[in-house]
Amino acid sequence: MSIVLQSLPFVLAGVFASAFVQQHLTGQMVARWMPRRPWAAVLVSSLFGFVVPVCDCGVIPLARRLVAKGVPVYAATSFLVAAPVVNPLVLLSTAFAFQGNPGVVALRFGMTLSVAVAVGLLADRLVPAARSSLPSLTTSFTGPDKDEIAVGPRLTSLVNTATAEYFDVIFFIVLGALFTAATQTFVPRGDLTALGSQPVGSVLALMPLATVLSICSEADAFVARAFATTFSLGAVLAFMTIGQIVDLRNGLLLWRTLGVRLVALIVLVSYVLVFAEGALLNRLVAVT
Amino acid sequence: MMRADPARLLRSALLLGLALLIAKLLATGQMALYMSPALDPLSGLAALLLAAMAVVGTRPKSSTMPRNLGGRVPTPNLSQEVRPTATWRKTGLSAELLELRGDRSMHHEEGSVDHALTYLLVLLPVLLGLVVTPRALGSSALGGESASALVLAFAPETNQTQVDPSSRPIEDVPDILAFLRRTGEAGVGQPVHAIGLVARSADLAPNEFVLLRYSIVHCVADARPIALLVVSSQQAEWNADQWVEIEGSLGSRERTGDRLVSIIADRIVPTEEPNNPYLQAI
Repeated sequence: MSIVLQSLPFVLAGVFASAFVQQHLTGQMVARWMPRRPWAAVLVSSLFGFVVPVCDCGVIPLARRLVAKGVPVYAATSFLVAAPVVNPLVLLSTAFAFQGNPGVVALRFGMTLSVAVAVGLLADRLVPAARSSLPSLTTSFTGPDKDEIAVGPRLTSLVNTATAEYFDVIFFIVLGALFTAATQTFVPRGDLTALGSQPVGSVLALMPLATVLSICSEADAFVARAFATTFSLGAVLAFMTIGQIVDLRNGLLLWRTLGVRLVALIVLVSYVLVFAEGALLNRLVAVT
Repeated sequence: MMRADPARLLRSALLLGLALLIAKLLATGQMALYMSPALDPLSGLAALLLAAMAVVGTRPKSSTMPRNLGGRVPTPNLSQEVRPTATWRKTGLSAELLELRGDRSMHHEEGSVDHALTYLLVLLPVLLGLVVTPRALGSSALGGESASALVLAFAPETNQTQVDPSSRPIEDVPDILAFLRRTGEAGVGQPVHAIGLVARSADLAPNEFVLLRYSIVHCVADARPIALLVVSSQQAEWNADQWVEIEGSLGSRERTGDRLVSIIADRIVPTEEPNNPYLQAI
């Protein structure tokens, strides 16, 4: 209950921001700013979450729409991987959850960015279909322009869009909260502590948990904060990173959107990279 | 033409229910049983937004769009982008238009089972919050761990500052912890006054129990137990989870190689649970 109540303000901020962006940012504008070189496109896409602060619940449709407007699939994939974390709202909520600890925020940002860049560049090399993009959807639309619609209806539309997105998100917030509450209630803290103290085992334990819990990126830092007292830093960061890239909640939609090869690439690269980074971080913390 | 949409009305009811739940928890002070009071302004704002969303959702939407724009947005498979006609052949609409019309967000796949599950799951916390009276975390929240294993111990290498015990007791657990951080074991003998939950453990003597408090950063999901050993002059017959008020002095007890922080109790009386039973993270 407390996880649901606590995450609500952030979820609402996220869905309203996302609705606003979906209403005002056109795919053409995005495509115009997209570099032609793959590495530059991947980097720009990975950082595009700062312009379009969507959570992991809103990122797939947005990535789909970017592709429809001409953004290469590999670049959209980088955006899809990075945007749920590499955006101001989520970084702010992470800072809030970890009491303004800049190290945790920077490490979460860096780990996610590294996975997004790696996935994007590998998708460009290994998945030929990722170089293509969809034709513009707007060619078939001949209705009124957005600007011609009055402010009132647009505001109503904004709220309605935010509401629809809210109901997409809240299902998984409640489900994640139930999972978390069950874990905290039925798993003895001593067992978690024993697991959490191991530099490799702790990372291996929390990564699948993050995938199963599928907590929204605007709320997961608060759940991760609860683990921070028992688990290693590397494990907590791996939890926050992998949970926004590979999660059960978005798995089906991701598969339907990207296809088997791209999804397999994302899962494999992100799991290997996040695990390696988490374990390495634990090693470095132990040394210092 | 205006038309009522039962699904939209249901969603509005759920949003309003959640807004009312937050308002009720804030008004009765029960929010403190879930979250740090520092988050109350954000929660209030969330309740207002939810209420606004509920109100907007009750307004019937007008069906002014051309008929050929109705239908679903298919989920394209990007691996098949080389065959766009196969991906998009069934649609003639702009997803942006659907958003502008307020029918749905792009990713809101329509499916009655999905929606029913969502509504049921959203209804769960609303019903629980409105019907069930919230309770503060008790000793059962230790997740099966023995309370005695959590008792604070003096750090072996504390930079101890010699202090003369003040006659004025230190009030409650946060100040006691701050005092101990400053003095370490040199603070033994200092009069204290503390409030907390009774937690029992099989490996404690009959005249001992654990005084338990939880500290939270934001909400009870990140709660951390703080446990102090209480040694009474007589048999401690307090029930688990009973709130008690203790007057006594700081002491130290040797146990399995550790020197445990203890309160040597002069007086123990039952007391009411505080309005905010949690300590802000220490």
